[in-house]
Amino acid sequence: MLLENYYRYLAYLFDRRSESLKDVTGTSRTINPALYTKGGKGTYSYSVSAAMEVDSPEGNIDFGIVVGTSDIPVSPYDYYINKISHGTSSGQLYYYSTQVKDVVVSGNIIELEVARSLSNQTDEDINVNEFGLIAKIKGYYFLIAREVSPATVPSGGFLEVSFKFKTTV
Amino acid sequence: MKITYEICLFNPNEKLERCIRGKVNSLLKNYYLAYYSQLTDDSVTLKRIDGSTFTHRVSYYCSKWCNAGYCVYNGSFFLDAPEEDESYGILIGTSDVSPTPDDYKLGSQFSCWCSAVNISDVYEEAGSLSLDISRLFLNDNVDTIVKEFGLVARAKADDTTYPVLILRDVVSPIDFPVDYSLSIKLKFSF
Repeated sequence: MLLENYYRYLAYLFDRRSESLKDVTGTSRTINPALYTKGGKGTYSYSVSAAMEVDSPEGNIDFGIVVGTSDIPVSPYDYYINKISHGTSSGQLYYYSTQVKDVVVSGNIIELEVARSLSNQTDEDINVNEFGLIAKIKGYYFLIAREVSPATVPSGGFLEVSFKFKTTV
Repeated sequence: MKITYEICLFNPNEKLERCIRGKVNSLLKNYYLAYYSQLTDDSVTLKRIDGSTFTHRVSYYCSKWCNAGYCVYNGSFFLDAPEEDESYGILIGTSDVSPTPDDYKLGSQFSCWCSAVNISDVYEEAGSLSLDISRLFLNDNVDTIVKEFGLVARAKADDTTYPVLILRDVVSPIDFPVDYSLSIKLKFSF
């Protein structure tokens, strides 16, 4: 399910207006198409981004696809996921990078896939109950999608998680 | 995410004549490429409505002489067209040629007076969240039959923006006589 944060980001983007999103700590953050003020005259170089990045590198679970242990049903107002931490110690999963794959057009179908592989490098099976997609927007982290679906990652096994955005024209 | 449309026709006395509703099927390749850019902050090549291409990236790099001591960042992918601006926002047309993923313009855009695009607040309805984008058209041109609508965003590249078609759908023909008005509402929900 795409969450409130996602819709507020769309409104921010489409309407060039300020929107308040709730980050993964529960803190409200206002994102806005700001007027960037620089003091005095001169030539200034800077960059700003309105991206909602999800392409997290290996080992980074601040954003990108993450998995967790909660089986609380999804609400559109969810902002938090009870993450299983990254690593090779007991109770941990090893997170590879989150991949945003190229847009694929096949006939009348257009598809964009976001995927991440995880491995269980411990001696015990690990149960996963929830999957989420966290975006980094202007330096803050926001949960934009969450699903509850149980899965067990056996010792030595892998888990492939992907979110697909797809249209048949 | 589901997108639905509602198109309503009003007579010159502003009385509702009819409405048609349906599911939007045709988010286009331009939309998905821009979405890729948003998710990765990488550059992509988009096709604007005149058929030419440009490099788009959500990040905006500003390097300029700022006489007033500031630079303005206006967003990077927006739909909030003002009144009577038919270069972007929701547009209507008269072509019934089926959409394809590579469409970059309406089949045949129809020109008439149009309101500003209105983008609603995010709201909850029956347990789901939604966001509406709507526009009103008043036919001050000639009698016509509307068969298509599109959504055109302005995407940023360096210090300028270009219009790109991100959605196009063909609908049941709806007569649109002079002095009648037509409202179009797109609802984004899940």
